[in-house]
Amino acid sequence: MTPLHSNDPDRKLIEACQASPKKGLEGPFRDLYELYRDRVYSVCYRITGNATDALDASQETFGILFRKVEGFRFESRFSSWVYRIAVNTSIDLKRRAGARSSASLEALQASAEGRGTRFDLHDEVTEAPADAAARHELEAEVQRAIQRLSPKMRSITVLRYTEGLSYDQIAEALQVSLGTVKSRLSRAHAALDRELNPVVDKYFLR
Amino acid sequence: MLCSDFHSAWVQAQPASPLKESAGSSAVEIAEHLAGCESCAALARRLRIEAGLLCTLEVFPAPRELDERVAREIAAQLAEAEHAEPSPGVARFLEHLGRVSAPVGLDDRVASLLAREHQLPVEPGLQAPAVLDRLVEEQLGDLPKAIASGMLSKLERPVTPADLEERVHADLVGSADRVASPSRASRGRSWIPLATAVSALALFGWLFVGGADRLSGARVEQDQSRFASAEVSGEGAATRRYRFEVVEHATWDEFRSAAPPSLVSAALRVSGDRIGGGKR
Repeated sequence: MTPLHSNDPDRKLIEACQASPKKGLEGPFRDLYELYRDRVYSVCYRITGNATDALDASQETFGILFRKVEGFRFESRFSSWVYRIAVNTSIDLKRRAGARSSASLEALQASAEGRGTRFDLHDEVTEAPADAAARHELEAEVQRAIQRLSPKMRSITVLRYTEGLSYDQIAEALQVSLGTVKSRLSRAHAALDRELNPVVDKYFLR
Repeated sequence: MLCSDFHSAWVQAQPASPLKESAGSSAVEIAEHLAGCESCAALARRLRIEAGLLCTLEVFPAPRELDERVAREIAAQLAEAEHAEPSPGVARFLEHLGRVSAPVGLDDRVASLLAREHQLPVEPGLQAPAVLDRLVEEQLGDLPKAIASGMLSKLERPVTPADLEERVHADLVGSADRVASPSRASRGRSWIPLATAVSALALFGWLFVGGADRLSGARVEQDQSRFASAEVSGEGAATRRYRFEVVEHATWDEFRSAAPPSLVSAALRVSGDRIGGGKR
């Protein structure tokens, strides 16, 4: 039997959503949306690889959440459920629009050129332009390597590194065993290492 | 630890956080392996750098456009839900609506329409017979049965193949040649019981070869059915009576290949008894 997550940090918020009649993007659901907005978008962006698909997938994810939050029974962490919906929606969307996968590079180039909104941990003002360019190039290489992974390995890599989830949390979010998480991650590392080996040599080990 | 195991061991050793230092017995094992293996040590350096790169990927906050799109999506869902379910007031009003009777002239109009569309000789104002109501009621009372009988009534009777009679006749004649039966015997084929009786007698004659001088009597006869009886009696031995199903066998080989094993073994036992000196 699946254990109930009575100590889910989002429990009060979810119960508030379930108790109040649906008011659109107002009330408790607004709080829920604000809480997960960036996380969902980030996961969708890293899996789909472009802003357009990320927007579509995020919109669909929140549409599903709004429709189904009433029936959520805390059989997993709420965050795991949200990640699962976001990952599945992104993969489905990519599958539907398989031909559009090449658009990912355009999105990366757009972000590298400073277009669009982005939250940056680095201080652009104090960073030397050459360093910033190198960093963007490096990041583009990493994103390209992620995009070359299979959807399953890509999802696990994104949840592990972009979202910083533990193996347990990933297993719960993707509804796979702990062993599957580890083996997929091990294969993802091997694949990423093949892709990034020259980049790492160029920027770090030379 | 083998070099081939290093990769998975490295993944195993980082359960909590991707950048957390490895801990536990597997971490010690990894450290020992790395101290003595240059290629794995190089791979470990690369893996650490790659993990660091993945962890420091920029986080893209959702654009404002997403707020608008999610608001629209949710509004659309709510509108759809409103259309799907009438408001409580409307639902109450609908519940109180009564059934409206058909206007008087409807029957005539439908009749004339049918007459025009299908060239049916429908007379306007013609009343359906009272039995129609009962039939309709019965059908509605057991709808599955009515549907099933309706479908069955539409099934067409298959036409008998032209050669069926010929094939049945050929089959009957063929089986009559194979098995004797009282009914066929009564149809004038009286030679069959006679032939079988003779065959069985010939069989017993064969069975008692070598012991015939001690036999006081062996008799085979067919009764009124398809069974034949064999009565065997010997010197100082009780009479034994066997009952055989009548089959058309003339030789022992044919008998042995077609008779039930129990009958064959019974026949052999009789033979052994008699040939071996008539002991029971």
